[in-house]
Amino acid sequence: MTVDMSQFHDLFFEEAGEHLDKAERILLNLSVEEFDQEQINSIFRYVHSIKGGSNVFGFNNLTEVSHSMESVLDKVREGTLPLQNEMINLFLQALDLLKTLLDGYKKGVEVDPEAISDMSNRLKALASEEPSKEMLKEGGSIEAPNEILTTSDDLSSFMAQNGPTEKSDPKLGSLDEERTPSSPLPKTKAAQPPEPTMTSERYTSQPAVKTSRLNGEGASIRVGVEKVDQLINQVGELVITQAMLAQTAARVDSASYEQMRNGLAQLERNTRALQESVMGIRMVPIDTVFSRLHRLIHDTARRLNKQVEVKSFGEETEMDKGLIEKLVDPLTHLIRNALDHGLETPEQRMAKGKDRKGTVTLRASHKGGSVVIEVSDDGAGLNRAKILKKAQERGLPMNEGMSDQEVWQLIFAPGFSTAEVVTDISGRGVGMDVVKKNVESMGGRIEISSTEGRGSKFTIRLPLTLAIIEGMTVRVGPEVYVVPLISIVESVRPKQAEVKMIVGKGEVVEVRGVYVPIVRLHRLFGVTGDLTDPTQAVLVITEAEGERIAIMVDELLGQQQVVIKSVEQNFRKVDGIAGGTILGDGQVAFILDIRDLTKRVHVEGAPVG
Amino acid sequence: MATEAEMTAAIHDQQMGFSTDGCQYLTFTLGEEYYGIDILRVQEIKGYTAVTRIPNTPEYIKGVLNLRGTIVPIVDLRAKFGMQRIDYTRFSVIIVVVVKERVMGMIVDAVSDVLNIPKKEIQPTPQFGASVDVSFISGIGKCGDKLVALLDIDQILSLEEMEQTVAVAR
Repeated sequence: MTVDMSQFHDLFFEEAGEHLDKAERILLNLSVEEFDQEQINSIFRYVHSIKGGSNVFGFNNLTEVSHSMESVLDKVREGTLPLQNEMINLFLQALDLLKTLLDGYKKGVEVDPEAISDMSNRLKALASEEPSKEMLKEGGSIEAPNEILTTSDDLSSFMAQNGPTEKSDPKLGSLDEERTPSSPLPKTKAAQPPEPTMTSERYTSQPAVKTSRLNGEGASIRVGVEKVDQLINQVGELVITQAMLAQTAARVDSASYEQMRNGLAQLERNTRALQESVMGIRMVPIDTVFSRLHRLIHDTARRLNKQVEVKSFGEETEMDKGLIEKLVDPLTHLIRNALDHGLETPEQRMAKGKDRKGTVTLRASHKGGSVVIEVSDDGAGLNRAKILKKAQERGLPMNEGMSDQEVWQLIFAPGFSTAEVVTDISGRGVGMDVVKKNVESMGGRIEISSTEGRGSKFTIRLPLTLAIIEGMTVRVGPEVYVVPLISIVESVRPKQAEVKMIVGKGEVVEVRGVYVPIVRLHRLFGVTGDLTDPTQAVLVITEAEGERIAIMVDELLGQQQVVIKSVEQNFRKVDGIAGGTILGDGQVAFILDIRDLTKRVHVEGAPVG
Repeated sequence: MATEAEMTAAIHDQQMGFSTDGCQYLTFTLGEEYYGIDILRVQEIKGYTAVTRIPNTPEYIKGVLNLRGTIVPIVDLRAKFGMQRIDYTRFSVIIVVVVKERVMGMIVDAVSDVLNIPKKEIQPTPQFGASVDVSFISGIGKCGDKLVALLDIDQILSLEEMEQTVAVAR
């Protein structure tokens, strides 16, 4: 009886994909002069694992390429083949091919057989190398390459002949032009796009991740996301039920039911702890995004012929898994910008007295209830004059007296770009406004700081999870609404003199010289508010996309964390409403969509005063 | 004219003593009248709890409810049928149904029995004229001496109607 193996395919694809990612990460961090034996061992193990799995399932092409790669890696880890820069690039390309093959098997798509045989041949040639004479000189013992390199006598000659060259001639064509005596790599007809140049912008990175991490992977269990989400929902329910109990218990005579009250207080603590733990399950280290970016930076820098050093800090900072995926696009764009526009070419940098190598820094941390991610570079910084000029050309509201902060915000306008040349990397001007939209759709903010000539820093601030927000509960008549705290600027009770009526615009309130339109929720939502006089009520001033409105409410009830529940799931999107939440008394309260409301007032001029 | 196959099947049924497409209906009351819905569409029955109004929606959409953590819209059937409105008490009942993967609820006066109404006991809905819309009634079922108006759930809680926004009178 044959066993249907296809049910195991998915698991193999997933694991193999992870192995490839991890192997790639190690390769990018690999430095030829000082690498850890353990790094090579790990890469070997990953490739070996993929080979084994693909063999079981009969994925022959995958088996063939991984086997060739494994042979080369075996020699490197034994020490019979010294590690060199062009080998790292070859390995990266081999990993790319493995990824393509894996994808091919997943989707049932054929992969160009020429590309496969090409890579196999290159790897095989490398694997069948004779150990170099230099190495045999060391008494014939096969030791790990780094030990050989530390022998000072032969170091210089070894380096001169085999070491990576510092030539940054971008016009170097195929590999064999820079052949070193001991590693004649055959001419390549790589199917992979980037031509294998020898530009040695040495790609180094300062991993905050210690090598020891490679060893202790830790025991873990693979769990489907749906199970985790279900768990989170159930715990959310538990919190609500517990809140309801607490409310009921509060009304009970404390003396006679002391024990019950104590028990309930304990229940509250237990429930909160449980909720925190469960929410923590969805948290994933931001490293998964950063490592993908490392590869991107590596490839982009090569294409642009810029020398980059990437520093990353705080990779272990955890973020909600749902948010992490959404971060990739904005960060990718910011990095492309930094490499394309921000960083100058090595010549330009030298002329400015800077280090040839530019630095791009990725930093993640938790601050308050947010995750803060910074992308900074020590390049040319934003050019204030250019931006202002461009803004003027495009008819954007600007004036010379704008603060730097306001000038930087201009680059978020759709279609804005000061690049003279549009490359396929950046410059088309569709980027920054999309970045801002993406960040804001995650409930976050993006800030810029820059010094001309010194560099720029883009800071993205995101809430810890997508599902929970800090809200201010407010009452309008019998209805309770939640206003997202992140959108609130301030709350005021205006004086008579500050409330004005402007023809064509309706009611406004003057706040420090600026007129903010007053929105009467009861008009917008058909709810009857208790108060009709703004000077008796409370005005909650909110901001969205730079515009402000003042929402009139009867009273402020309090501030709390609320879990966002979807209204669209069983009903539809309601204008002005971002979602619903369940209050402590079990009632549904709507969360206001500040962006929506602001747009209706400012853009569509809906009469709400 | 029934085809041979259909006649054969009908004869079979009579011989077997049960109807193959007799449906089970959950019946409920609105005022004096009985209505029924296909029991397979009913997810649960719940006592009435306060509902949160949704801004700018037609009268018959009463609002939303919290159903074990999910926000579920509630339809007021009396309003939908243009019947006299009453105050809902804790004896009122909400029937939670599933319509095209959406969970929704309908408020009714009270829930009655589950009836097995064979197809042959169902008569087509009489037309009352253009003024009354009876498209959501799939037929009138007879059970004993009771007449039950069988509702087409998909019609009553149709998506298109849900999508409508009613502008608030200024």
